[in-house]
Amino acid sequence: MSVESDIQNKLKEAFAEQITEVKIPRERRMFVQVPLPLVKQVIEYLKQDLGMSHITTITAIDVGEDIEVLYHFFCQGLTLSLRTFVPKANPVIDTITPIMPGAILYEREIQGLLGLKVKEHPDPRRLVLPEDWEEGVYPLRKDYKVKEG
Amino acid sequence: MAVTIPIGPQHPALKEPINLTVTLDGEQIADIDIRLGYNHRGIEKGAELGNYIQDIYLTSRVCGICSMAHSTTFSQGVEELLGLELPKRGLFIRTLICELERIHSHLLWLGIAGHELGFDTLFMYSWRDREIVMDLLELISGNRVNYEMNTIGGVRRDISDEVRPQILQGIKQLEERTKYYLEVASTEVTFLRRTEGVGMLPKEKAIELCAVGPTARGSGVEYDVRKHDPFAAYPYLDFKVITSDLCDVLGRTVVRVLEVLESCKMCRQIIEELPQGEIKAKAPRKVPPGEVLSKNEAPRGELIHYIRSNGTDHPERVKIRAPTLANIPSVIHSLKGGYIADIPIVFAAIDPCLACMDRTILLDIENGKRKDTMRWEELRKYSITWYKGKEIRNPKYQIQNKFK
Repeated sequence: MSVESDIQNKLKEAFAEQITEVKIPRERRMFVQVPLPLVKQVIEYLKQDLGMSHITTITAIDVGEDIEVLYHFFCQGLTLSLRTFVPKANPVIDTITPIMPGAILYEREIQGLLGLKVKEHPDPRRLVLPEDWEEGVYPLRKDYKVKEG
Repeated sequence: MAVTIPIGPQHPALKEPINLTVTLDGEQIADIDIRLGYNHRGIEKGAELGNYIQDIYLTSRVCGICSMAHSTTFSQGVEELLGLELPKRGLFIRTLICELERIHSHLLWLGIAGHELGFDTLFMYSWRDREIVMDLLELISGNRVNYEMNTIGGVRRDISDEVRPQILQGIKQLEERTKYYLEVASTEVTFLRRTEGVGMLPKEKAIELCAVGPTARGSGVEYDVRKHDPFAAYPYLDFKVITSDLCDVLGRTVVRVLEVLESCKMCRQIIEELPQGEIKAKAPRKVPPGEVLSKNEAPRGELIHYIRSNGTDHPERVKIRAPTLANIPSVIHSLKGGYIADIPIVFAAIDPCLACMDRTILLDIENGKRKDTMRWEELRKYSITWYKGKEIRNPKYQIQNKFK
């Protein structure tokens, strides 16, 4: 059995139907969708039981009503992306920095660029936006239009 | 007594803008805080506006040193979305440029490391020899820095039979010089004194803080995208993943120098085994909806592009994670407890590329507070107020503010 399907089975075993979708587009790539409240639990499971130790980055995408968040991990030689949706009406996610210390800057980055609030983040300052950037303007949201110059 | 001093964003010891706020206890670093973003250019937003062909050239401009790494990562992501099968010759040429770029980047780094250590002879020598690889890149692509060799489906320029001996000759010269640098790095007493045990990053910490590239490999973490997630022509090539258990600046140096030798070996193999055939496959302009995670081992470490397509000729989202950002938590860790005089070399040891890291300031600012352009007087005033805010703080000896 391949590593991909092995991880898939273990996740299904541990979280049953709460794992809403698993996609394996090719070898060494895997996309797993979970509901927002389950994210921390799944990450803890990946770390404790599957030996995952590396977070590659966090991608956030404006998809209309929601913001899609993808946590990319490196786990047993493959890249596992954990997908979840956060409603724009209440764009709050829990911090994963205590579990994965490497996530600290990636969480700060998406806070500024997409307006996600990371709850209990140890250092919630801006990362890339200038100091005099207006509060509440998030450049990577789709409603932010770049003026042609 | 603790003293807090700001270093940068503009400072003689820094090559690119970044701000380090260092809290010192005597000469030792008690705490350090890094402020990024001075080079933020809105490239991720820009990529959503352009089409896929334009974005190849935009992503090459994320970085002035590893432009090939970025455009390769982007192109192979789009190729995967399209399900394109690339001709082998195209893949080999693409890989050749990636490896030549690594040689140029690592030799550039070696020079900077020498300079930061006060060993300027090394800087002069390695930058002189770096010209050999720059000339080879110019010979193949016509350019020294932004090679623009990539296109969706392959590469844009072929390698003729006439230039192959020239490339082999250049690689031979580079190999000889690099062996000499390896000897210098492992025997020169001044060099060893300034690098051994400096900027320690134990293996467990490198794993915990998710370090990548030569920074991680210099701490014994055996991970290289070329080996562990092979792409382009790497599955056909014969090479070793270089690691070192020294966990200090010396370890990172040795890893880079040995990697140059591995790259030379790969380049020679590519030139000798270059397959015949086409250099690119025909690619449509529009990309069907989908998502892809494309990885590459850039000279500084693992580089990630996440691309989402929406069925049109421009991407829905392009996310770029450059290796320097991944190494910032590690460099903070290795600076703590060290001496202030070691800041330049420890910071340089991750081979920071701030242009890559910050990649993403806006092309234009609408909120009215910031002007599109600043006149010299305004800029001067702005910087004076900014540095006032970062005033040197020492409870006992309040240093007078000179900017009045």
